[in-house]
Formats: sequence, C-alpha cells, structure tokens
Amino acid sequence: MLDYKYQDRDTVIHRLTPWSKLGWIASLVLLAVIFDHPVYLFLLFLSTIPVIAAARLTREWASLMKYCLFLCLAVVLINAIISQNGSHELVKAPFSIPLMGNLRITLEGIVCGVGNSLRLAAIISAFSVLILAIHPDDLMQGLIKMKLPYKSLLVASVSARFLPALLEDSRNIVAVQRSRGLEFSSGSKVQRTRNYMAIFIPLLSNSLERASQLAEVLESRGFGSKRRTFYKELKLTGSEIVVLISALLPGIFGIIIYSQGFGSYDYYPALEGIGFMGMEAICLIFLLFLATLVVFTALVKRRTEID
Amino acid sequence: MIRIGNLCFRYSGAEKSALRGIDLKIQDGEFVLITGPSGGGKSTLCRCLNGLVPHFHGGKIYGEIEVEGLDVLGRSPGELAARVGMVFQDPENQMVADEVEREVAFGLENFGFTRSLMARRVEEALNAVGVAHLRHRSVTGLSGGELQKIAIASVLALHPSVLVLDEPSSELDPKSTEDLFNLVAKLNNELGLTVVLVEHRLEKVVRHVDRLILLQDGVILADGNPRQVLSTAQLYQSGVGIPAVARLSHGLMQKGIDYGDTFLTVKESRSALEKVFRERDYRPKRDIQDRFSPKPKGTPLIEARKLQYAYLDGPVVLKGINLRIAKGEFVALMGRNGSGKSTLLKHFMGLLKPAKGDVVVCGLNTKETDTARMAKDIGYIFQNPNLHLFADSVEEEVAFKLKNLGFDDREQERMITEVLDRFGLTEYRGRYPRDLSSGEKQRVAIASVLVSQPEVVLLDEPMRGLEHRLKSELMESVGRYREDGQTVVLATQDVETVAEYADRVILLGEGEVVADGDKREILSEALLFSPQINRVAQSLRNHGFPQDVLTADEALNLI
Amino acid sequence: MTRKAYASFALLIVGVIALAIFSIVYPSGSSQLNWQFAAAALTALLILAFFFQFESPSFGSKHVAIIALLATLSSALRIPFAPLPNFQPCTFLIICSGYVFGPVPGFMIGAMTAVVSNFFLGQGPWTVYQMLAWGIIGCASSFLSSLNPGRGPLAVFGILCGFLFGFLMNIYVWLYFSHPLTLRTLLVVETASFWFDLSHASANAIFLYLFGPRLVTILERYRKRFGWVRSSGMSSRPAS
Repeated sequence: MLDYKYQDRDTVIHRLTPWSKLGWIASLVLLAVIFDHPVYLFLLFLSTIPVIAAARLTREWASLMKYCLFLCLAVVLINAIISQNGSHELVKAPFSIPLMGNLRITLEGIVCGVGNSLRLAAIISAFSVLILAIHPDDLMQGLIKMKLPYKSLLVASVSARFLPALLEDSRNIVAVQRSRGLEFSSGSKVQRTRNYMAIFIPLLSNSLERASQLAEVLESRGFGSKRRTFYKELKLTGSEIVVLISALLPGIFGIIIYSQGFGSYDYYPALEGIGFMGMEAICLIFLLFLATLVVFTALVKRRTEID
Repeated sequence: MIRIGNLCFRYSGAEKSALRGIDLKIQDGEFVLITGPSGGGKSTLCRCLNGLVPHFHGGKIYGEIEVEGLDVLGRSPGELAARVGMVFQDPENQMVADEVEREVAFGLENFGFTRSLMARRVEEALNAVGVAHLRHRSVTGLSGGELQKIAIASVLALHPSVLVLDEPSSELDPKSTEDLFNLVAKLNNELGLTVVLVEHRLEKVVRHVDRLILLQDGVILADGNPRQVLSTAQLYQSGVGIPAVARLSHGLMQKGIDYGDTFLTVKESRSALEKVFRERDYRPKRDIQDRFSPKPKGTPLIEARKLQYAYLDGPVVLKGINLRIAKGEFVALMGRNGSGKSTLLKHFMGLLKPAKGDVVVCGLNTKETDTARMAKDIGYIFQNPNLHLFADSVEEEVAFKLKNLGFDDREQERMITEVLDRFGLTEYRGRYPRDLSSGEKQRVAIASVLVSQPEVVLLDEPMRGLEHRLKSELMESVGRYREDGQTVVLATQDVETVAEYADRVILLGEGEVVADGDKREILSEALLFSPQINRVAQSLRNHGFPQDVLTADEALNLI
Repeated sequence: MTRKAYASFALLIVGVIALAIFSIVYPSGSSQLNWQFAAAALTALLILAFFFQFESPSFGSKHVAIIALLATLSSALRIPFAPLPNFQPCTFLIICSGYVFGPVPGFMIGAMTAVVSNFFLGQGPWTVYQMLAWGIIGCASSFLSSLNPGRGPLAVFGILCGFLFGFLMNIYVWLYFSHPLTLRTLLVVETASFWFDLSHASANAIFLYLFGPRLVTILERYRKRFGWVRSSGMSSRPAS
C-alpha cells in the first residue's frame, strides 16, 4: 500500500501557509490542463521537482512516481488504441471492430499518449505537494478561510483520521475469519462474495459503533451549538503575500502566453514540428523560471524571518 | 452539586427500563465511583449528567436531574458541556482533530471563545494532565493511555466543575490504567473537581475514591464509604471485579478473624495481617515451598525454533524465540504492550509466517501450511467478539467454521448441537448474534471457534475491558473445554486471571523470552507482574507464610 | 426528503445532462473554450451545492459521525490490502447508505469516499469526477426508500449505478486523455470501457441481490436506534 500522507519536515516549503502551496498547485494544474504541447508539459513536470526537493520529499515522491509510471503506460496504450486519426501508420489490425473500424496504431496516437502522460505526471507531481507537505489541519483551516463549508471539511478530516484504525480492524477481522477456516481465493464468484461478507459485516458493525461513540463525543463537546471560532489563525504576513503572488505568477503568465497562441499543439493528422521561434523559447524559459520561483521566495522569506 | 430525584429512564424501543427510581446527591468535590454489572444502568446514569440522555439517546424519562442548579432535562448536551465534562471508553473514537492541541481546542472553538482565551485554556489543560510535551504531535501515533489523557484535557479546557468518566480504562493496559486513575485523583484533590467515575474493575481505583455506589438493574443497591460497600454481600453477588486484598479481608471476616477495616491496598493488608499474625501466633498450614514442580514433559505440541519476525518496514518484533509447549498445558504469554505476545500467538495460528526459524504446531510447519488448513487443529479467539460475528443466527455463526472445513451435514449437526450445549447456547440457536448480551456474544464467538474441537486454543487478550463475571465465565468455559486434554495458550497482561487459571507463564520482553516456568515461580518473583496477594505474602515471610501464594482463596485456605 | 434536496438533485441531473450534451455536441479541436477546465468547474460547483446544503443546522453530530465513518469504511474497502480479494463493494455500501440515510447524507458519503480514499490512492483531477459520480449514486439511492424494492429491482438499480459511474468517469478519461474531442472518440472510450463497467455493474448487482436487504436492515436498525428521522435533525424529545 502506498504510504501517501502528510510528512512532517521542517523545510521552507512546509513553513509556508497552505494558500501559497495551494496557489502554486492550482497554477501548475491549470497550466497542465490548458497546454497541449508535450515540451511545455514536460517542462511543467520538471519544474515541480525543485519544489519537491526543497520540501525534502524526494523519497516519497519517487515511490509515487513509480506508481504514476504504470498509469502513464496505460494512458499511452489506451490512447494508441483509441486514436485513429494519425497519418503515420505503424501497425494495422487485420480485423474490424464495431465503431472503431480496423484498429490502427499510429505514431501520432503514441506521441499524443506520451503528451497526455506528461500532463498526468505533472498533475500528480504537483498534487503530491498538497498531500505530502500540507498538514491536514492547516489545509482544513486554509480552506475554511476560503469560505469552504466547515462541516464537509470536518467530515473529510475525521474520515481520513479513522482510516488507519479501520484498516487495522479489517486486518484483525481477516485474521479471525481465516482462523475459522475461511478461504478467499476459492469458489465461485457468488461463493466468494458470501465469504467476503464474513469480513464486511463485522467491519461495518464496528464502524457503526465507532460512529455512535464519535457522535456522543461531538455532542458533549458542544459541536454545532454556537458560531465557531478557530484556535489557529492563518495570517498572510507581508512576506507571505509575496510568496503567494510568486506562486500565482506562473498561472497568470501561462494564461497570457496561452492566449497568444503559445503552448497549443496539434498531434493530428500529422505531428507538428517542435521547433520554437525565438519569442516562444524565451517565454517558455521564463515560465519555467516562474514555476520554480516559489522556492526562492520561500527561502528569502525564511531568511527575513530569521533576521 | 448534583441532585437526582426519582429518575426513571427507558430507551425508545427497549422493553425494560434502564433506570428505575434513582435518588442521588453528590456534593461538590466528591470523588464518586459507580460500579455494577454491565447492563445495570451505569452508562445511562452518567449520560444523564450531561444530557446525552435523553437529548441524544431518545426515550421516556421521569424525575429530576439538577447539575449546579441547572435543570438538565431542559438543556442540550452542548449547553451543559461547560459544566459537565464527559470522557468515554474508547480513546481512539474520541479524537476529532489531528494535532493534539487542536483536539484540546475543539470544544473551545465550538463555544466561540476568543483566540487569546483559547490559547490560555489549552496551555492550562495540557499542563494539568501532563501532556504538554505532546502538543504538536498527531493523535494517530499515540498510545491509548496518552489519548485518554488528551481526552481529559479536551474537556478540562472548558472548565467544567464535574468530570464524568465512563469506563475510561477498558481499552488500556494495566500501567496506563494506573497512571490514568492517579491523574484523575490528582485532579480531584488539587483542582477540587467533582469526579464521577464508572468502572467495573475496582482494584486500581478504589483507594482513591470517597464514595462507592453499586448500581444494578437500574437501582442503587449500595452507596457509601468504599470500605463499607466492599464488605456488603450485594457487591460480591453483582460480579464486579473486587480487589484481591478486599476479597481477602472479606474472607477473613467470614472466618471470624478481626482485622479492622476492609483493606484497599497491599500496604494496609500487610500491616493488618502482621498484627493479626502477631497476636494469634500464626502457624502456617503448609511449609514454605521453594521447589516447584518440574515442567511437564511430553511431546511438544507447539514448538518455536529460533523464531524471528519483523513487520514490514518496522522494528524486529521477535528476536529468536525458542520454546516448546506440551499437550495439555495451560500457558500464559505475558509481557508489556509491544513485547511481541500477540505477534507470537499469530505465528502459532500461521497468520504470520516466520522471517527466520520455524514454528511447528500439531506436527504442521506453519511456513508450509495454509491457515485455513491449520484451523482444524487450532482455534484462535480474538479479544473482541464483535470481530467474529457476522451471521444471521447463532447456528449459522457456529456452522461457518465447519462448512469451511468441509464437514458433512450429519457431522455438522452433531458438532453444532454439542458445542451449543457445552456453552449454554442451545436456547439462542435461532437468535441474531449481535442482539445478544456481551457475555452471550462472547460465548458465541468462542463456540464458533471451538466447534471443530481443535487440539490447541489460542486466546489473544480476551479479557481486555471485560467485567469480572464475564472474565471468570470465559475462563471457566475454556477450562471446561480443556477437560479432554486440550492445550491453551493465553496472551494477556491480566495477572490476577493468570494467577488463578494458568499453569505455566512465559514472560516476553522486547521480543525475547525473559522468563519461562511454573506460574508460582514466575509470578512470585516478579515486580510488575505479581498479583496483589503475593505482594502481601512476601511481607509475611517472617511469619512463615508461604511465598508462592497467588490468589485470595489460596491465602484464605492457609489461614 | 426536503424540498431543497429535491432542488439540488434536479440541479445535479440538469448539470450532468448539460455536461453530457455539451460534451457530445462540442466540435473537435482545441482552444476557444477549454472543455477540460469547464467540465471540472461545473462538476466542482455541483458538489459545492451539496456541501452548502449539508451546512444547514439540521445536520448535527449524529450526521457528521455516521457520514464520516461510512465514508471511511467505503474508502477502506477501496484500498487494496493483501488478504482481501479484489472486490469493490464501496458502490454497494454507498447505495445502501443513501437508501437508509437520505439524499444529502447519501451524497456526502459518496463524495467523501472519493476524497478520503484518494488521500491514500492519489489525488488528482479525477477526484472531482469520482466525488460527483458516487455522490449522485448516493443521492439517487435515497429514492429507493419510498419504493421499498425487492432483491431483483435492487440488483437492477445496482447495474444502472455501475454504468452511470462508468459513464461519468469515461467523460473524464475522454476529456483528459483522448484527442481530438469528438462524439466518435467519446463513443470509443465508452465502448472500450464496457467490460470494465460491466464488471463493476455486475459486482453491484451480486452484492445488492445477495446482501442488499440485509445491509439495509443493519443500517435501518442503527438509524432507528438514534431516533433519527430521515433527512431532518434530531427528533427525540424528552417526555418529562
């Protein structure tokens, strides 16, 4: 199982408010969604690495990327099969499938799949900062301040907190039922479904018991009785605002150059060349600079705080 | 002050009333312990104090409840939260936030306190219970004892004048239980907090309390000074866990020996007994025994050879265990939390496979055998019967193992009838298991494992949180099952039970066997794992009192 | 079911239909309106509509607790761990929860399942679509309570839910990973995932047929124990 949760480290990235991190993630995800050009997407992916490194999360990130690689391969494969518009045919199936016609695998289909994989990798990599480097309570506080509904956020955070306990329960139940001779891997689908219930029902009853206890706890601590205040306040200090702006800059700049027609790319019917004009190359380098700017501003902010 | 007048309550949909005419006055600053058998109304009564009954749990209520001059029936639990702080059984289920200090602040946030006041209250509350060092930790990694203290801090932050605790120790190990009760006593002594504690195991707490109340079938049967109540016959019949020293003094009283007040601590019983012995010139009925019966020999049924095990990415849990358990033995595996007892027990069932070394049970090497195959010869009973039960009827629940093992219908029928009869479940055959009482549920869980008549029975901390009566019921059913020469291995921290029922004790520490031998040998030399009575006996050595006495009954037979 | 809940359910349906129609009608090619972005925004708004409904004070501690724990349970069922076979009964659990606890809790349980399980499985743009898909299933299941269906109809409902889930997730796959965005590529994505969706749908049907009534009974029993009337707040009154 992936150990994919908040990692407490003392780094400049961890010290930022959740908004700066969320702003940076939003910028990158937005750009990953609007750009089609594989080189742009690749550079977006690359620009997440300095932030991950600054947060000292490379180990967790690498294990996540391994898992991401499988997804990417699947995307390439699916795309190669589905996209039939390319002109450079590599393989053609001798039989015909309804709706799809004769299956052809084209160079364009594969390259388009690679482009989409890069988009996926950039998004997953940016999102990993959300999970790995933002404390769940801080995230919740940040979202509340953004006027998101508190109760729904509370449900999500309580639910995430109980997940390890439920997994532990399920491990124990599996142990108990296995020692009563239960085998999961044999029998028909119906039989296996029946066997599954020997795990599912105790787990459900246990969860309901936990729910009723939790409800009592919430009730006896005055939940929902008055207008809430919050213990921790997230404040945007002057230097933090600078970081936040630097985190949003790549998104803004990206939209500007996108509206100038940069970053689009047509895979079909035949691949475009990927030569850059002088101006586009400069913009691209500047975008890469902006996407990693947050690391520098975070470092500078830390410096000023120490002084 | 808490004033309850002629209080009756019936849960909606229930046939019987949970409380039947309770009259109770609790003065400010009192430490009151409410005890009684499960289903006797303890939990309901303490939920009345903060309005969870009747506002959260619906039902019919009559009578009056007044806390600090406030009429509880007219207020919601939320409004009462600032007066009555409530701590519940399961520490894990009481945590709402992830970080400790935010957990403590949660109640304050609900009441709309200003940030500066919250900061002060959180700081005070964390310090009052002594968990300030944990303030930035995530609640996920903490132990049950720590979580329970944090739960207390969370309610203290609201500055209640009454602290109500509903069986707060049932999920804790003995050491954390003791810490917790010491803390509660400190809060009572130093902050002047009124404390109402519901608990069915008295030995660790009764010495702290001012008043003991016995609640059974929704009625108060006894109420008064703990020494008085501990000598009443009703308390003995109710099946709660009475401290061994109190049982000793009760027994002495029945023998007509005058010893002064009922003992609450080992220290008291030592000095009282010394006095009695000196006055009466005591002669022991038996000599001091220094030699212990040698370990029973025979073909080993369970054997672990150089067993090593580590959890994935975790520390090494078992570091080269060598042991043999012969047919017919009753072995207790003891040790602190994390000493590896449960891990070792899971190896005997083949649920975990050795990283190095071998485990052979009933002639089967667990490395080569599937757990489902081993289930025929070995039964594994987990602490919580709720993890076992899933079927629509008791009969189906019990038949599940036989079906899995492929017994034919006639044999199944015979074995089911036999096991239901053996565990007194025949009348519940068609009932829905989860509707039964906790004692009955437990018997169903045991029957569902023992139905195939396994040679070896493994019990994984089956007594945690169980009240005394159910505990002895459990041990007696295991004892009855053992009559045909079956082997039992019990992992537990419950010294008193081991002293009473087991033969041999294996003490684990940090994944190694620290001591292994007859229970009299191991338990009577221990500091941490010695029963109360043995500690009393140790001090009576000069009077020739045998040093290997472990239980109150044994001691009484000698006097 | 409250009028508000009806309204948001209608909104939900309209939103989904709009999404579907625009997706199909939208011509091929790039730029102009970015559909990946627009669809994500629309989905997020639909989800928020429900979240804000859940803010109503009629949803108290009991609702927060049961929604949180049922969402945890169905998330736990999604996370593969060694000893469990690869069943995915979380849709089954969401259907039964919506059935018993009503539209808004049903939606919340479904949506939270996606959020929480993805904390472990990986968050991404797909999370929003899963939230919507499971949320709709949970919300729609609340209609079952007035119909009181037997095993057969329940199983049919499970099949529908399986394909509905598949349809919505395919829109996501199509938007993000196929090029160009045309009706033909949409149909190709939908057909390509047919077997996958069928296996999800049939698992739902098997679970609901064999164990649906039983699970509903267990959840009903819990709901009644707390004197909780569907879709409104606390109902128990002291009879002093």
